[in-house]
Amino acid sequence: MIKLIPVLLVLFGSLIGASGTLIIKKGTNKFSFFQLLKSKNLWMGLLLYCVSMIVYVLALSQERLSVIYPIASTAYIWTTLFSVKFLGEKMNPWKWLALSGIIVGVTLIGLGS
Amino acid sequence: MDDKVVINSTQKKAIWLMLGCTVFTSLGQLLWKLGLANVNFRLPLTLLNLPFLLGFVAYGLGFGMMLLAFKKGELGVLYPIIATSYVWVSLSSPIIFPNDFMNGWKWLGVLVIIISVSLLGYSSSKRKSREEGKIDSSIKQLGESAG
Repeated sequence: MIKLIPVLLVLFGSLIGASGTLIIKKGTNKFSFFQLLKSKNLWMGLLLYCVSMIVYVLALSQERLSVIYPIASTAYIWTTLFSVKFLGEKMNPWKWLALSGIIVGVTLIGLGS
Repeated sequence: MDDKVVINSTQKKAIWLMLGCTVFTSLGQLLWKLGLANVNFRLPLTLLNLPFLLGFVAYGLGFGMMLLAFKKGELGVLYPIIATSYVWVSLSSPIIFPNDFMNGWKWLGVLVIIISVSLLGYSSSKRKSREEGKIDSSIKQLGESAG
C-alpha cells in the first residue's frame, strides 16, 4: 500500500523546490553573479530549497524510495511549466520527450533501490 | 513585468556547466554519506568530520556552477540536466559502499537518463539552428528585394 501523506508531502516539496529554482533563475537573468549573491532572489530561493529538503526527508522516513523518487521528479515538470509561463521560454516536442524520459529513468532507479 | 528578461536559447557552455554541477553535487552526496557514518548523534561535534564538511564545499561549488549556467540558457533545458546526478551516484556508490549494488532496474534507469539528457541538449541546439535558418532566409529575402 502506498501511503497518501508522504506522497502529498513530496508533491508539495517538489512544487516548493521548483518555485525556488524559478526565483533563483529570475535573479540570474536580472543580476550579475556578484550582485546575485546579495540579492533577495538567491536567499529566498535557497530558503525554499531548504524547506523542500526538509519535506523530502520527512516523506522518506515514511515511504519507500521507489515511491518517493518518481514523485520528486515531478519537480522537472513544474520547473518546465514555470519556465514557459513566467520566463517566456518555448517548448518543443523533443524537449517534452526528453523530460518524460528523465522521469521514467528516475522512476527505474527508484524501483532498483 | 518591466524587468522581464527572456532567454530563448541555450549555450553549449551552459549545458557543460550543468553537467559539472551534477558531478559536484553527487560528490557532495557521497561525502555526506561517508561523513554521516562517522557521526554519533549523541556527540554533535562528530558532525565536524572532514568528509561531512567537504560535502558542503562540493555542494557549494555545484550550486555556483548552476548559477553560472542559468545566466547562459533556458531553465526548461538546464534544470532537468540535474537528473544526471542519479547516474553518477548510482554508478559510483557501489564502488565506495560495499552494501550498495547495481541491478537491472538501475542500469536501465541510468541508460534512459543518459539518452534523455542527450536528447534535451540536442533539442535545444535543434531549435536554435532552425531559428538561425529562419534568420538566414529572411536576410536572403531582404537581399533579393533590395536587388
